[in-house]
Amino acid sequence: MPDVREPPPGPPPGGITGGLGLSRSYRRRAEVESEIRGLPPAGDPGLLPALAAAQALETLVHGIRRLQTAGRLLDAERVAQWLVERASPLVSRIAGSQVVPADDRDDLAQTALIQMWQEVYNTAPQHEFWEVHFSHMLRMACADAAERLRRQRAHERPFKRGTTEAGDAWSEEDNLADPLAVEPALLVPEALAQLDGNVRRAVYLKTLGYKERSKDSGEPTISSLLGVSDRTVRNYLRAAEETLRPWLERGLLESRRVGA
Amino acid sequence: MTTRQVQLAFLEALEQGETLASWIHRYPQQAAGLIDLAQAREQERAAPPATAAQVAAVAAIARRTLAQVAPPLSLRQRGQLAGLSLRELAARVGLSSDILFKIDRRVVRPETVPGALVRELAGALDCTREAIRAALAGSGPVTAGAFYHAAQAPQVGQQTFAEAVASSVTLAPPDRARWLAAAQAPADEE
Repeated sequence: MPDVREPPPGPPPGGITGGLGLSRSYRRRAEVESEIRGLPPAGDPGLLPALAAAQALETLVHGIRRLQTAGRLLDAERVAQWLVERASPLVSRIAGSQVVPADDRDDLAQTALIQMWQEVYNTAPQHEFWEVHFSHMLRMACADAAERLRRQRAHERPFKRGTTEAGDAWSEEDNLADPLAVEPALLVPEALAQLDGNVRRAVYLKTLGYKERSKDSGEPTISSLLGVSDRTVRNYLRAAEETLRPWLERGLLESRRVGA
Repeated sequence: MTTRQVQLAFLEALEQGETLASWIHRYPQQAAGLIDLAQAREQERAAPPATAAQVAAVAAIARRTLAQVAPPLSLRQRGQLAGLSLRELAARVGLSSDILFKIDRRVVRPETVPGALVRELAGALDCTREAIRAALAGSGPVTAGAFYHAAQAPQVGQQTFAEAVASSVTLAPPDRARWLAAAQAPADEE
């Protein structure tokens, strides 16, 4: 078993050396850095046309922050609107790929976008990452939002059920709108979204080919990666199977019905 | 390194072909977050492209959240964004420019501006009603830029929307009747 307590290695790939306007030593991609270095100063009327012609989303973020710092709120908002137009396909794709039920996608996008705007408009140094790698920051914001949603769902109480005086069964679940029809191609991600925390992670690691246990102590296994025992991993996988079996059977039936 | 730095570097490393296991080995305390990021990244690669309807829905959410978070712009600034002067904007919504000027300067109390006007302004300026409400909000009248030929600046009193409509000399009678009726309508008609 490798010593997991060894100190972290030096700068990660993609790390270090400064960038224009960055207070810390983060490194932008070369094409982004040169585009930002080519922008006129904040007071220059040529800044807006230059931002309109910019290729990288990071340049637009940098422009918003630069204009915001210079007090040009109107122009900052104009650039933010360009960012909305340019980034929406990417946001849609990234938000849509998070492991949450389809019904929660809009909530997820809203939470992630609020975080994005708050951090883009906040010119404090710790929010500079957005002008270093916009799409990765968006992935992290969406992952945070997905985790928050999963925690909320985990605390929701189960549906109340009972029988009326006449002996008819009732359930709160009957009051829900019809579930969204799931496309067959999205069935597996949608099924995985039904699982909680480490149960879902164990299933994902298994799909990546990691074993539940290994005779080779140096080989990473699901238990070593999750930091739990082999027995716990077995319990996770058993719980996943129990959750997924009825859900997948129902999903397959629905998808057949949609296909028919 | 902070969690964000590690996750950012991890996403970068994934694109360069590094494995999830090697990163969990380096940062075991962040295993859960790294696994979630890797799983979402894999699904992102496999997912079909977003449809036009999905993109439009996300763009609408982005505009709405921007209006919540960005520092509020005044009506005049929102008009500039839409390429309209206050006079042109007043004409679009069927109001006289003196009233819109008072609204922009908060001489008219924001809470008395009827929902119907907020809705029409949002339509004319292509923004959300929340953004218009944010533009109208403020504690008192804005008098910056005004010239006073007296030793002390005069006190500027605030009016209700109905008072501003009633006292306007340039508003056409049909528009006056319409806006006075709107001012009497319940606040939830927005």
